[in-house]
Amino acid sequence: MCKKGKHTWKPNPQHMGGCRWFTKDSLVSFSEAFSSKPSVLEKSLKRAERMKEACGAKCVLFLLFVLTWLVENAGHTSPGKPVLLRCRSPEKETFACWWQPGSDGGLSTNYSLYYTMEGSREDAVHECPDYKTAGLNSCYFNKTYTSLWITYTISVVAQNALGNKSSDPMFVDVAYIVQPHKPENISAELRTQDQKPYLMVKWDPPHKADTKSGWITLQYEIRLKPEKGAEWESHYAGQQKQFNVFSLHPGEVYLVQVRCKPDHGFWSEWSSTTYIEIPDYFRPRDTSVWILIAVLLSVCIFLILAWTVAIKCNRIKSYLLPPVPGPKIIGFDTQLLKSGKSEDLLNALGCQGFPPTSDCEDLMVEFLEVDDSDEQKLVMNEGEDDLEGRVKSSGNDVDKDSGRGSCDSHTLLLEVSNSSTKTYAQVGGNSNNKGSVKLSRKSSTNGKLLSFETAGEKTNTWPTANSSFLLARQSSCYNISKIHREASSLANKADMYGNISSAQSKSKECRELHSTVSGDQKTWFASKKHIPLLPFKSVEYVEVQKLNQQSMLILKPKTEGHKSVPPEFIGQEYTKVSGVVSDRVLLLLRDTGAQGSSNTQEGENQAVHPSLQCQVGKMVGTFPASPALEGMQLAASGYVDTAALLQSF
Amino acid sequence: MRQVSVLFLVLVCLDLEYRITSAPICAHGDAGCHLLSVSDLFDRVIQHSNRMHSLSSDLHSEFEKYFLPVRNQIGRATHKCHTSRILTPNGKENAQRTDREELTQVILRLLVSWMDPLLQFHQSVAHNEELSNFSSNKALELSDMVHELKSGVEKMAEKMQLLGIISNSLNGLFPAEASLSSSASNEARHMRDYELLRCFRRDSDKVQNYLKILKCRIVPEHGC
Repeated sequence: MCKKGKHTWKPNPQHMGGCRWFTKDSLVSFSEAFSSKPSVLEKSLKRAERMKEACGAKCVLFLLFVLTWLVENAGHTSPGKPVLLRCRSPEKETFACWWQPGSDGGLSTNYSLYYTMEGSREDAVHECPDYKTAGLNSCYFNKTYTSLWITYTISVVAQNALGNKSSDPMFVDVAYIVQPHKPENISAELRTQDQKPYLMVKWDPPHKADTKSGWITLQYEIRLKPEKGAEWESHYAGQQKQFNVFSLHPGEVYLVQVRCKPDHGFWSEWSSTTYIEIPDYFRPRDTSVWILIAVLLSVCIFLILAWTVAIKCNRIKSYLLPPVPGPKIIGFDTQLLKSGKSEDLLNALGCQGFPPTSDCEDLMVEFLEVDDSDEQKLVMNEGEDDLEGRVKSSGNDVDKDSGRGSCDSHTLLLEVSNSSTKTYAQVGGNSNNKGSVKLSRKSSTNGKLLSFETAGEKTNTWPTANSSFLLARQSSCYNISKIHREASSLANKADMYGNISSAQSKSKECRELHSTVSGDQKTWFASKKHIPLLPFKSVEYVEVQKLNQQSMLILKPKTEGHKSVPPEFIGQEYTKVSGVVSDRVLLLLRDTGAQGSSNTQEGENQAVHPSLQCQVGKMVGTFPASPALEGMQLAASGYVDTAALLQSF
Repeated sequence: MRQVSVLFLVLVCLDLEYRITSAPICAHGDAGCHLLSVSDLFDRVIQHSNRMHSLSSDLHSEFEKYFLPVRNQIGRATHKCHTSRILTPNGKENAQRTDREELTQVILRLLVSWMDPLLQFHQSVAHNEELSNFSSNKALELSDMVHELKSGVEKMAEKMQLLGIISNSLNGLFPAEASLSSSASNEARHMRDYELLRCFRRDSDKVQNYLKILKCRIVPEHGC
């Protein structure tokens, strides 16, 4: 709906957007009303407008008047007090001062600067010659107006319609307010000295500062930092116009700035930044890197060596410091002896089979016969009985007894069994009366080893040349002495002659067996008791006669004509005695042909060496004593007439 | 006898050592050689005047703390400096227009006129119990420095006259300065200490500046 004033217009269907003007009088279209033809309405409108204008102007004027009145009443004030900020001279020839205006009090204020000079009259006040050059709110004094070493008294006055205000005076002596411009033409050049990079920075003084004539002397300061660094590194450069910087990090971009200051004055601003890039210099790192690598390598190698050494410690020790060999008999191995393997021992010594082997055709002697004769006698003494045994040794008898084993050894076991002293002696005889006699003995108490061999040219030494050959210290030692002897000398062999003489010990229980060997090579020691030696001449057989009730073995020497076997002994068998155990048990070899039969033994004693019987010229090993063993056991190299034994039982 | 002779030898040697002073680079009469020595003289003198000026600045600021709590009031000169009579060039152009002889003379005049007042100043400072020993020592050093600097500049002027760098018209002015200094010293007694220091600080700055101008005019090679 169109409305204008009192009249309501209706939309004119003919004119879109137009309105019709209906009056009471007539319907006049709006368009007609707005046509160029003036209408009544139009005229009336104009009239109204005029009236309004006339009224509005007055209103406006009235309003304006009111406003200004209001404004005036709100507060025009005299200007606020300006403040002189500073006066500066860039080259000690001109200077400028700046001030800060105070509040202007709502009115336009203008500022003026007045100064007086020292030495002139007090009323000679001058105004600033130049307000423009130095910028807004400034005053610039050119050369004409600048005098050095004279105190200026400067003040600024702010003035507006309502009043003026003067600032506090400032006393200025131009010589002391010098603040130069920034240094110019800064150049940074990269140089190397001894393969180390350094920066040579050059600059010029500000072009306005006259340093050439000596009017101003400037001091410089340089600062630089890496592009990504946080802090600047400052260096004082004095009055020179170049500077060398050494503390540089390669591979970084550096920012360089310079500033200057007169002798007594203010520092200038920092100059514009100069960028310089330091290229990567590997050379300074070269040597240190290589040194580091070398050190690490050497440490690694050292660690590896140490680890190797630690692991292979023993081997290295034995390589570098070979174990000192103990005293050693050539061919004699103490370990073997300890282990109780007499065959190995004898082999090592060069004896080739102490119990003579079967290939020794010369072996004839089978039994060891003990004679009662003075020459060859082994007297068996028993402490408590009256047994006598004779040991005969026969030399050249050929032993055809099959039961005797492959070797015709005529070894007789001599055994001393005792709790404390155990001495075993074996005598191996050789056939042809040239059998080698071997006596080996081991005394477990005192660790003596008496051994000898007759084979070869070897001579044996008594490991212990101690007192008694057989020593029975303790009570109730039971000696079975043997007589072994080969008086004959073998063709190529050294013979050892041993006299085994048994001495009657005073103690009934012990029997001492002493034997001395007299021969080419050695002499056996004589017993302490000076038992007469009974050299043997031939091998004799010893037969075990009986075992008496006191558990003693009675040995009966076989007669010389051993071929004539006593009838009571027909059918007897001979076995070897391995050992006597605990005064009761005679250990016999079960199988004479057996070489490896061994007794099970306890204690510290070791196994019986098996092949004694077959070894000629070999050292007989020890027969360790065994603890009490029931029954009879067979051992090497001892012939016992089992029949006799059995009978005795 | 032997010991005595040895001692004598030792003494001679020592004495010889002490004789090794900093002799000028060349002792003969070449022109180039003489210029070098003048340059050395100039450097020494300028160094000296620098020290003097810095010392006077320190003393001045110290006195400011004691006597004038409000800063920047010292500029208000209640009394003129007693050396204000001496006409000194107060700008660069003026100074460059002044010839060497006059400039040298101005320097000497300034130095001469300060010799007595500084002595008096030292005496007054020494008696003043409020001031520290440090201040009184500095005051004494200051008065000594003025004497030394004056003698140094005189020697330099003589050297320059010898070499013909400056004319011999300088000699005529010296007696006039003596009278000047006595009247000036009378005036100076009336000045207060800190005002005296203010004046001296300014004058030492003038001396320093003129010397530098002279040096760069006569021997411009080094540091100009």
